[in-house]
Amino acid sequence: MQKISNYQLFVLTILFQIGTTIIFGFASAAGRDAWISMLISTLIGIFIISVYLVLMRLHPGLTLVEWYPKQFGKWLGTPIAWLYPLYQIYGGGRMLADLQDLVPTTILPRTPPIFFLTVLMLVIAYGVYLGIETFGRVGEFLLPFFLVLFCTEIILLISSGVVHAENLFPIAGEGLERVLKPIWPVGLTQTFGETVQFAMIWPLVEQQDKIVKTTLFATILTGTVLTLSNIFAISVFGEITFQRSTYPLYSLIREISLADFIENLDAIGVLYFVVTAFFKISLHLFCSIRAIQLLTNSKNSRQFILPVIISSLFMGLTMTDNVASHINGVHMKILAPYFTIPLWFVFPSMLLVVALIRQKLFNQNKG
Amino acid sequence: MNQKFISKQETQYSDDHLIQLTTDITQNKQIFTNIFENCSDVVFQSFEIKDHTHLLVIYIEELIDTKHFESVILKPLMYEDQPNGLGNLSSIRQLFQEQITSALGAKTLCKVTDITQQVLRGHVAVLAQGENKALLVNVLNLEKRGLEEPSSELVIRGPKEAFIENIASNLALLRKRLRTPRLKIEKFTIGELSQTDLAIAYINGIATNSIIEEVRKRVSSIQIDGVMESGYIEEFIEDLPFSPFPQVHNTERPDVVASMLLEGKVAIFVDTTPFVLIIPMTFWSALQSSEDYYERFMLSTSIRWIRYLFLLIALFLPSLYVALTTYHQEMIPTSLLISIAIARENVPFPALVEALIMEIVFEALREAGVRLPRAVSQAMSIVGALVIGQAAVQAGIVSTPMVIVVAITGIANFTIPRFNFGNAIRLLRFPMIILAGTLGLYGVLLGILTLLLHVASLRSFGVPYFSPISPLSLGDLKDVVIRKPWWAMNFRERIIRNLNPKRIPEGQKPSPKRGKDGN
Repeated sequence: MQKISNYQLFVLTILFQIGTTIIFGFASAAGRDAWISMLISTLIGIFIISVYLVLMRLHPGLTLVEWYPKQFGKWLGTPIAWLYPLYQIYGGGRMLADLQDLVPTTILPRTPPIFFLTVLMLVIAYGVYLGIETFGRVGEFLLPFFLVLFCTEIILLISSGVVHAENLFPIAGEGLERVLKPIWPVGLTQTFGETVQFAMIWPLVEQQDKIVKTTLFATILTGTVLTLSNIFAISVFGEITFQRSTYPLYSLIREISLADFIENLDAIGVLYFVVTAFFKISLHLFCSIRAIQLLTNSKNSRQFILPVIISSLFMGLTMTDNVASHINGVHMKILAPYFTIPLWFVFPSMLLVVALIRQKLFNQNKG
Repeated sequence: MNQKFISKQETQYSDDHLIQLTTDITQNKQIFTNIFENCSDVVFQSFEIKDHTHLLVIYIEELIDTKHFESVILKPLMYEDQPNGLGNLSSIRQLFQEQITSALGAKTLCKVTDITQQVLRGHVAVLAQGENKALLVNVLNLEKRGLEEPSSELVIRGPKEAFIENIASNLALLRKRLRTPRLKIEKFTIGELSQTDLAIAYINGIATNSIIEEVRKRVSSIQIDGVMESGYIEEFIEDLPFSPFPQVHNTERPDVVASMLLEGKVAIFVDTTPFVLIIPMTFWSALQSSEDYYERFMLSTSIRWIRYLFLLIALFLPSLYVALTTYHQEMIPTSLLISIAIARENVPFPALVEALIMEIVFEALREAGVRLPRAVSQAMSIVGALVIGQAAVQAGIVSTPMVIVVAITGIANFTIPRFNFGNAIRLLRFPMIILAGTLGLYGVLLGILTLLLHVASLRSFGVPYFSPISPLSLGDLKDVVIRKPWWAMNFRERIIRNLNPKRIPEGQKPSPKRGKDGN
């Protein structure tokens, strides 16, 4: 099996967590205090990810889908474990639906989504075929560019003279309730809860003892990048425009104008999002394929690539009709509360409790 | 390994020939005339020496040094006052050794196939009546050209001699640069009919055994009728055949081979070609020229960055132009956009078609230029510059910006030091243009991602192709991001996993103080 280095894990974690959060911005319901919501989400997210990491420590060398059968037994554990790969296929599809809305409204107005999404999926299929190591390498090549671009963006924004820090004040002036509202459940599921699927990748990391540090550090960096993006978006647009725009961080790049020469860089921004989406979809589908392989006890995972890619593409294309129903529709009303919350929070907590009790009993018996 | 090929040869001949020589010289002659039937270049010469022993000499006239042959073989045998009892080969051999010194390496062989092989390699076989063995004397004299300047890797500063089509001279050129018994040269014979000599060279104690072993394994498992160029070998030993990128380095410069061996790499010499293969190869070594290490390091570092920039231009400039003018006009600054629009006003084709036409015509010009007889090259450049450049623009078939883009791309491609790597870039430009023309910058981005995935997954003999950038190896960046001065290149590249990482002792940075206190 291919192994990835800890630095590659770090890079993949960041790219995965930033994912599409950076497209839609985050917590626009909190208005000018969205960045506080982001900050709080990050702190809680770190706690949640710590739980996943504790679970990893309790099951050394085992992946997410092997935890459940081990602790809950074969009959209860295996069906729960199956939910993860299926949800990941859906997750990949949902990311595609994100792009299905974003790309035509921004850079390719007349291209049918089925065309550009299929081409994207072909590239992803090639990547998944090559394996996780390749993603790690591409990621570690691209991340420095990402961070440099991010810093350049901030510098360009400041030098374009559109940043108005007064838009951030008064801080939490509308009360704490508005700040806290976006955190649960969306804020936590979208960015940090999904990190649980890295439990499919953790056993493939070279230095097992450094995973905890790597993952937490990556999460902190993600939180910082997203919080900074929010701060800049709010201080450029002010509360009202920020709340109303569908793609606030995209519009942010549009604001850059330097010497009437460097302007209209929004296409670059979209490409930026496509790359993060590419990594997130790839990781979703890679984890899904690996989970299916482990659950079906097959030796070769490559036979699952095509079915998974096609079903994900089909879901992505048929999921929603327009961006409003995509953001606020079925996903937020049904899937988020009844699927993601159990998958990301309830089952892992139950697992943690069971695992801890069993370990304690085991130790007592031993003693 | 040699054994394997010879044994194959044996089975080939054993049907109609005896494996061993007989004691009867006429029968022996019959055997060889059968083998060399219709080979008009093989000479059989029978004669009798003083004590009436019949001798038979077999050789290929064009392969041997005739003067040498006469003076060291024929004359001693015909010598008037030879001692008696010269009738057997061992005494003839002794005579030869006295006469011609041991340098010619006379040896006795009994097997017909071995003798045949040696004759074909330019030895002279001497058979005597009543002996079931033959004496083989090496008087090989292959026509070879003198050492010349390398034609494919020119430098301003640096050695100006290149390899030639003779493996022995090539190995000598290498040995001249590495006078150590630790430079090992292992010989193989490849090609069932061509029987081409092939040598693996490495420095013992620096190159990793696993890589050497892998090279031996891959090279000796090649089964082919004939090898005309090291490119044959390259295609048999590379890791991933379905890739535009070369995974084996080739060079015709002895200094490059020597310096790469010092880095722990392994070289493969093939007879009859000046191009020597070096493995493992990385993406970044394709962008390094030997001159980088001879010139001042600051200059070399900036030249490297120019190459990286122009690598990107060679690969992406036409596709970016197509994508921007077709889909994302708003990203082009207004004044520039207006001049492009004016230039494109009369052009009937979309940018994609225009770019493809120009690029293909440019490739045709290049290809024609390579094979052009020198006398007509003048005419060709006029046709290229005037007709395709100016007239096409004036006729409104292509736009001026497009001509500029194609020209810059063409120049950019020549900044890549490795010719076959440049060809990979040339080839990849076309899918990129098509992606740009159909999906705009989004297509270009997907193209970049596919390329990155591909390059990141490539390996050359276990070494990741894209290293040390990814997987990141910070210590090795000294020879990629910059070219460190020689006194600071203290360690060999870690990615090649050599046995002896230490290369140059530290603390040799020159300064006025250094040397005064006896250092």
